[in-house]
Amino acid sequence: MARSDAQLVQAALAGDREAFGALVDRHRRTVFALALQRGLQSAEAEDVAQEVFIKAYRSLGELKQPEAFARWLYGIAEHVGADQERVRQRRRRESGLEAMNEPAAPPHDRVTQALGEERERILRALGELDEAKRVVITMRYLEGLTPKEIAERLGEPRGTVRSRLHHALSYLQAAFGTVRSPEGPEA
Amino acid sequence: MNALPSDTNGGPPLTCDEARRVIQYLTQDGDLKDVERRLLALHVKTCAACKGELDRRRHLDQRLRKAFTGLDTSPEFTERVLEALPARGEADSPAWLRGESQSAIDALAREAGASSRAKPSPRERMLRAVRIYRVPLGVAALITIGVLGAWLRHGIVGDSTKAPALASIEAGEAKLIRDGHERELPPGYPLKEGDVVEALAGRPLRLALSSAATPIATVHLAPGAKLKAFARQRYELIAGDAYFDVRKDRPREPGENFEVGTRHGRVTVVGTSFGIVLPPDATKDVTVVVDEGTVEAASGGSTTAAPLRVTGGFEADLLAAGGVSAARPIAPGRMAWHRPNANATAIAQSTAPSANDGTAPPGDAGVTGIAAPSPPAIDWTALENQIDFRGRALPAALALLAARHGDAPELLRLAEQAKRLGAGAGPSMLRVQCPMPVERIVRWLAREQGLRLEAGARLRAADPGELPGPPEAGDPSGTAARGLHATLPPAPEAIALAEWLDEYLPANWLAAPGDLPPEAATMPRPAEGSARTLLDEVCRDAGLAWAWYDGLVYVARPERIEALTRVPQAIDGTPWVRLDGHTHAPWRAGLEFFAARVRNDGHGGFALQGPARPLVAEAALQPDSLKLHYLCGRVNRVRFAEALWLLRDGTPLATLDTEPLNEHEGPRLVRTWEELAAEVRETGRALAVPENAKVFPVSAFRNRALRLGGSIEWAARLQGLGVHARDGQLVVETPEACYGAPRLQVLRCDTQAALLPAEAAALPETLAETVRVCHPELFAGVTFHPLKDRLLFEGDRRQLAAAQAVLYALESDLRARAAEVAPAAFDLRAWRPAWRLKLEQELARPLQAGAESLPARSFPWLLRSSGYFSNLGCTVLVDPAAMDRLAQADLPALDVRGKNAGQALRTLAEAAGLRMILEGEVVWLRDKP
Repeated sequence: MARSDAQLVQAALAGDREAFGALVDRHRRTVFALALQRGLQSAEAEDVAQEVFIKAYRSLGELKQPEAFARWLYGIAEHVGADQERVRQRRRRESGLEAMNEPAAPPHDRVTQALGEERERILRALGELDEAKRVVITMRYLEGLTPKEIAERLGEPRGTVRSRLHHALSYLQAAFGTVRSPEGPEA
Repeated sequence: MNALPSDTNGGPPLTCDEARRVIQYLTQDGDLKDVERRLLALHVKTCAACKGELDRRRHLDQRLRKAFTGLDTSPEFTERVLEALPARGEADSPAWLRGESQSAIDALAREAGASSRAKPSPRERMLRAVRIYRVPLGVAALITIGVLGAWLRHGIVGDSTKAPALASIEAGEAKLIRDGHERELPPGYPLKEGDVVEALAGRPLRLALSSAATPIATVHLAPGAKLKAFARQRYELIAGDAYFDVRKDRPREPGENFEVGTRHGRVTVVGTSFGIVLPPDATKDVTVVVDEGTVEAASGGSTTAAPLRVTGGFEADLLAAGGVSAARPIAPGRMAWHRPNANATAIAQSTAPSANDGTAPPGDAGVTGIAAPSPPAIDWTALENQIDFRGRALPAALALLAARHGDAPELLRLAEQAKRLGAGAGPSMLRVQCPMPVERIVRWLAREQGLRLEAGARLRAADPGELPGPPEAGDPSGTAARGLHATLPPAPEAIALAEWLDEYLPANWLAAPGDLPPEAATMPRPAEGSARTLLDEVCRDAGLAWAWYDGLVYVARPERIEALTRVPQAIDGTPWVRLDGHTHAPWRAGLEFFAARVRNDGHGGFALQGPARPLVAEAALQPDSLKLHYLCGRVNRVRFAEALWLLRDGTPLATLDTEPLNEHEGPRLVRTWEELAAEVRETGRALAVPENAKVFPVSAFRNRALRLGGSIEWAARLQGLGVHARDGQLVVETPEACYGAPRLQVLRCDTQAALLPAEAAALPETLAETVRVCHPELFAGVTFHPLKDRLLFEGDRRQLAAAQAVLYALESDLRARAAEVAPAAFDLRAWRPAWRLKLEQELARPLQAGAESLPARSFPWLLRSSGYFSNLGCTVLVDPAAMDRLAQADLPALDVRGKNAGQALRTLAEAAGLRMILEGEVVWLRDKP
């Protein structure tokens, strides 16, 4: 049976790096997806995700409730993602510098090429939600978790998770309400 | 799930509400029970609206699923993360690196607006280890001085053909200068020969250098410093100061050393932490500062001076005239831009007593060579965590600490000293469960035994009554204390105080021996809340007190805490300020502490009780000033430097010393300025009134609620004047002289917005409306400009103070609400300050004597003498000129049937041709315009 987050945290604190690796495996997609919702390219989002896990590793001993690891980790992701977004915005404002021999961006960003504009739009809309709603939406649709499973992972009441899902979906429905998707009828 | 009625077998069909709930559960859970699916299908057959809703939700569901399909990191992501984690052996616990804690991360996240850390490329991220490492000690470094030009041309081993280092910015901002062109330094950038990296002004630059997928060094450049690259391990410091953390395990070819050239020579290292101070004046000496390790300094060129051995904690000069100076302890404040505990190096000064005798190491007369490894010098600023000293005597505790730092000789010496001093007052009670610097730990271990840790790493017995020392040394930002703001989970109903402190308090703590009650105590209700609040309650319940002192929570009997924190003056004579009722600190440290708190938390307040008499109700720290809330409600803003100067001298900060004015109630009736002046004289102040000041008509000024200060202000305002302090007395004169000309005023409401995020967007505009409602006359004709988190308007100081009072009242109420267990919804639009609510409550009282009509009498008689309004507890003021006029004739009888006092007052005012205005905390009856 898979070890719980709390068990893996305790093992990592005792020096078991593989245990921390298991935590990374378990949560990396969500952390990565949260970073993408900041409008980052996939390479940048991976950088952010990596930094999130490194910061988490450093601070692991300060986590008073190991069972709340997921919520704590996503909070770190929020901070790190916000930092990166600010840096990007400032660089955009200061982009009058001569771009000489700047390392070229990958000709095709792996994720965005695969995703296409529609998905990029959805990720951007998700970026407008607050952190709590983004996390539950991501866990629901990325990892396919039910509200019960989300609640267990986050250590929060099921009703709270349902409420957030409901409000997030209502917001997204309104946001896409007049936008025709490539595949389906007007939502 | 209870979406459906219990009877689901052929039972009544779903209502639309029930159908929508089922649809909601469908999209949330992804599936329905058979019966739910059947009933929903039946419903949507006949309900187009619900069918549409179902279709929209399904479609949204599909779009979201598609958007997330295939979303994943690269396959090697986890491996990359694990590689980037701190290596085993570089920290006692794999979870910790020095200087990094969650509170620090949070603080960095909040300050990220100033952060400009460039992101290295993914490859660089993969290859780079975690940032700053303190290189294991005991490795000697080599410094040789040579002719710069020759070295640059040839180097020690000849021209290097090594690949350039990759440079990645970790903190600060930098530009790259190449061939005369400037640009922003890109992330993970390969430096070519001749590239110059310049640290931009504002904050130090931290640059990581790596090569062949392995870190080489971390370079810290002071703002404005410039570093020129020649090869991956050869640089020239051409301007400013720099500090180098060179990896011992970096990649290198045989004979390839990390070298940094300066105008007077070069520094070649194997692995250590050292800094170079390069004065702008080329005729000045260059100073080498060594924090860790041992270096040999030798002068090349024509001098024949023997090499000098310099150990960690010492510095030496590379002389412009040639040669090397004698080593000396690192000067306090040296390279403080990078070495934040520069003053703590005093502790390390005597760490190598025989190091600086100027003798060359035996058998080595040349300028090259590596000295034998010396015992590691303790890094007093290193953070320790998860170490339990409880039950150990001081010598054993110090030995334990030494063992965790490679048997650091300083700590072992202290252990011996402790034995000689007979330190055996009792075992330690200290358990470090949050990061704490080594120096502070040793200080507390010593303090427990009645000893003092002095500069030079020496212990001595404390003199009776001696001051315990600066409480917040080394932690002016107070980030460690911020753990006390954390919200704690509920604790058991009955738990011993020591156990509660151990298990629930997110901070290090210590108790005075014998002061903690051993038995379980009932926890206060609610048994959850902020750590600070709970600490207050549990200590109070146990008859104890606590103080945040020198990095931990100290719990003891109140008289011990009082003795601990009673520090009227610091040892250097700097006046102290009392912070939070628990901590004392020098003025400057205190202001810096709260400046950091305001920046981080958006709030900071403390009562000024320093040499100056308490003048203000609250002082809120702004990033560059103090915002003072005076006791009369006036608000002023004083720049830091001015505040420090004034406070140190004991000069009252306020231009209006209102404390005594606020203690006195204002007179019930004001007829003449002389009467007011007499009241003011009672407080020890003087009131200067213009010679042509008018007399108040009888009963124009009926005061029920104003203090003396407010009475003076309103008396002045009624006569079109203002009041301010000048030359130590209160002066009544024109508004312009008192409050200045109108100018752009900015009200920041980001604190309030943070407390009410749901209304953040609308808050400035709503606040503007509230200010207008509370002060319609004062802000008549004033245009407010709401921006994202602030409100702008053009006004004088009186208007600013009034608007600020509303703003701070809102903040106060929001904070009180935030502290509640179950805060009710907050209606921002309907919110009013407490004094406004009180005014409205007073006006809602019934009319005295339950009168149904007011007789035909004069206005002054009806207002003051009739008794109809005698139970009104608010102040009612009338324009003096109107009162004069209205005293001449009687008004007709007025019907006030069913009206409360306020409604009846309005009826009376209208009959008198006046308008009734609720202005601030008074009712103001004015002539119509």
